[in-house]
Amino acid sequence: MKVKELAVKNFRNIKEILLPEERLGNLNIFTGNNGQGKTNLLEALYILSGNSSFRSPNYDHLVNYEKEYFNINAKYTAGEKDLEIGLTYTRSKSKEIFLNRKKIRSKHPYIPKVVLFIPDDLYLIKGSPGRRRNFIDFMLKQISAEYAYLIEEYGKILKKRNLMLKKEAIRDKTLNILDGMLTEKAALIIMQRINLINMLEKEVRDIYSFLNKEEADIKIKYALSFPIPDEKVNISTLKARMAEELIKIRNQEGMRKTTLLGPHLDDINFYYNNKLARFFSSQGQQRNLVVALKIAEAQTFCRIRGFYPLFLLDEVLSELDYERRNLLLKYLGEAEFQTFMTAVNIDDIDVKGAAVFNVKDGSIV
Amino acid sequence: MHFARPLEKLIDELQKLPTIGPKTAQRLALYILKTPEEEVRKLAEAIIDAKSRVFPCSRCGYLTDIDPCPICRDEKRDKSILCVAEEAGDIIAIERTGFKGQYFVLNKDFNLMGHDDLGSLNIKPLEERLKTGEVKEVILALNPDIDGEILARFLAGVVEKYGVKVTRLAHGIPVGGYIEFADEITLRRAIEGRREI
Ligand SMILES: [Zn+2]
Repeated sequence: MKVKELAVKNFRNIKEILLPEERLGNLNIFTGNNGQGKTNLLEALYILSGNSSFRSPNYDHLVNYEKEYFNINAKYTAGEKDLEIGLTYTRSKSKEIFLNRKKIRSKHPYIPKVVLFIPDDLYLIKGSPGRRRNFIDFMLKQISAEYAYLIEEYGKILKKRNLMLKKEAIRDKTLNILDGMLTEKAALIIMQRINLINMLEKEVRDIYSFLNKEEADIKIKYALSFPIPDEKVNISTLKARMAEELIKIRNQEGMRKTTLLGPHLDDINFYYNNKLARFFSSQGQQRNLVVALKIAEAQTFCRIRGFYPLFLLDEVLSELDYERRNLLLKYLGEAEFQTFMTAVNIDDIDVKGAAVFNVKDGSIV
Repeated sequence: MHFARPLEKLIDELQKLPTIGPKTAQRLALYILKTPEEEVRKLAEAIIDAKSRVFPCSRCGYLTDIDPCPICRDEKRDKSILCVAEEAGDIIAIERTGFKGQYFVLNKDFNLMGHDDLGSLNIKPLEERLKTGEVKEVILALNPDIDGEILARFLAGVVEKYGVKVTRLAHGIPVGGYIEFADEITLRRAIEGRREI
């Protein structure tokens, strides 16, 4: 996926910016002081993917304060296809997305796909399990609309089951049926997550050693909320095991009034040289691991879907030391995917070959 | 806003009806006031009449003024196919497709979010009919949401005890769509494309 032209209008502090084809490259850097609009450009690209912004779920916040609407337009390629997408949002109305000038829903298969890396992601390794589940689910939802639907359905069944558990007397008949539905969806979710993690693990090692000039044994393991022997992990045993466990803990769930196991409680463990990275790796190692993981995310996406997502990085360079910063830029400059990144300062980095845009007061100068 | 008391009362009552908001209720009330008294009386009588004379058929649960209902009495209908639905409104929609089997209506808006539980569903009359052996296939025409799915699994369990084949409307109905609002063609396709569960 490659953006060939980007036009942004009335978006946050941007009145109007056009990045034409001849200026865009494989590695694009938005530079400038804070508050000038670098991240706004990244945000504009990001919401073209149909996801709501990583800075605010409210679209009203994204409209320039003097204007009534914003508009983002991009020409891009996805595989062999030449596409044009437009996103318009008018204050207190719903957003409208147009693909090749036809109105579409935000779940359309050709809508731009993205990998986003923001400084907050540096907490991926040691932060809450929910963060790690979101990391995997975000990827899978972009890869397959069916997965997105599966997660939604699982959430609805779970909500219903928790409501049942909150009632005074547990109704076994209804719970048995709900358990059947819940475990069917759970097994499919878990299986897809495990498959994806295995693919990520294969990619991440090489990327890590390139970016850090250091060989490291990196493993990623899916941690289930109920026990099952490794060699027995498949859809039917996952479903059967989870159903058995649910029966076992039914009384406990009745007391706690909530569902105590399932993919909504699973976790993902990262191992650095056979030690659990969350506890035994330094902050620097964890940060380097996250950088490598994000690139592995783009590579894995391409292995599955046959084309690369856009790689969007916000203010990540400043987190890295001099040597790693330049290694990352070298990697991104030569990568097969297109990168858009923001950086306050580019004085001590090698930006030859990159398209640099100086953003000041909502304009390119 | 000040309304005469009787007018206010009428608006309040109309507003209790489904899909009627305050504005529509007000418009309907004003319209009724402009209508000749004779017409208004007809409307009021029709409401009372329908309420007092229409009841669920003892055999299938569909709304009727004679028991059993005309559908149950109709000798030309295929007694071997039984279509199970949640509400009488669903039957009206399915009838329009030209379906020629018979029905069983649960007459209960099944909603686990509310206070309902499967245990409170009255399925005795359904079991009575399955016992006779004349039903060879049960089609579950339930809404394609989570509640519909729960209900379908529950009913499939009941029906299978009698060795009767169970199918469920499968294709055509948009996810999140409701049977009562499905157009005839989509619904006919859904009946043709039913799958065994
Ligand atoms: Zn009847």
